[in-house]
Amino acid sequence: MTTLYERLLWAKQHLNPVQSKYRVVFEDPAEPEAAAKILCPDPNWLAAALHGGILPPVSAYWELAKDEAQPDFTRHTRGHLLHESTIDALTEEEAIEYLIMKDIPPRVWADNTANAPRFRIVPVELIPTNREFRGAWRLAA
Amino acid sequence: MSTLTVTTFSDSTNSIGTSTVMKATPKTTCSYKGTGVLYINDSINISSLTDIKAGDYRLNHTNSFTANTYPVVCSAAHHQDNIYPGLATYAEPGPDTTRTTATCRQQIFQSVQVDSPLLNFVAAGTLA
Repeated sequence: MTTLYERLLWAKQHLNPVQSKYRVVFEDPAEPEAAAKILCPDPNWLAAALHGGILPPVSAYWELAKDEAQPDFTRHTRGHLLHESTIDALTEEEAIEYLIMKDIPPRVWADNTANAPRFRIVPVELIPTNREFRGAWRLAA
Repeated sequence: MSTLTVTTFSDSTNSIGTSTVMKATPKTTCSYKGTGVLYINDSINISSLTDIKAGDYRLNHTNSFTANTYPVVCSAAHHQDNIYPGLATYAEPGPDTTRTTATCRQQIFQSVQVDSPLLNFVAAGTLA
C-alpha cells in the first residue's frame, strides 16, 4: 500500500498541472460581516483528481476532522484512512464539489436552512481583480 | 525505479536516523500570487488556497499533518519600484489560533494587511 503523500509525489512527477477554470466564492455564516472568500483549486491537486487512483474518499477527511474536534485531541491516530483507499478519476466539476466538501466548513455547504446560497462555483474570469470592490462583494440571493 | 532502504545515514563521526531526516523534510510547499485573482505557481501537498481578505490566505493540505504543531516558514514580497523587499509574514498559531492539521493561514503586513505578488510557504513535520 502506498501512502497518500507518495501518490502525490508520483502525480507531481508524472502529471501536468491543470489550472482550473473555476473558483468557489463563499460566505461563512460564522463571520457575517466578512467579505466573500474565494477558494482556488491547486493545479497539481486537480491533475491528481482528474487522473484518479490518488486521492482518498472525502469522507476520510471528515473522519479526521471529527477526531481533531475532540477536546482531548493531541495527534491523529487514524491517518491510515487517507492511505488505504482511493477514488476513481473525477471530472473537473466533480473535483470542485469534492474540494468544497474537503476545504470549506460544512456550515457553508451542508446547511439547508439558509434562505440564500452561501457558495457559488463561478468561472475565474467573473472574479473581480480589484480588491476594494471585491471586499464589499456579497453573494446574490 | 530502485529503492534504497536505510535506517541510518553515517560518516566516520556523525550519524542520523532516516526517520529524523524524514521529519525535517518539507512536506508542504507553495508559491503563489496574492494580488488580483489568487494564482498558484507551484506546490506540493496543497489541495487549495482560500483568499480570505487582503493579505490573509488559508492553505489547505492534501495530506494532513499528525498534529497541529508542525513548523512553518513563510515569506512575502512587495513590488515597489521594481524591487521586491520582504514583507512581515505571520503563520498561525498566534493570537488567532485557527491552524489545524489540515489548514494553516498566512498573513502579510505592511503596517496593515496587504496583498503580495509573490508568497512562499513551507511546512515540515510528520504527516498523518
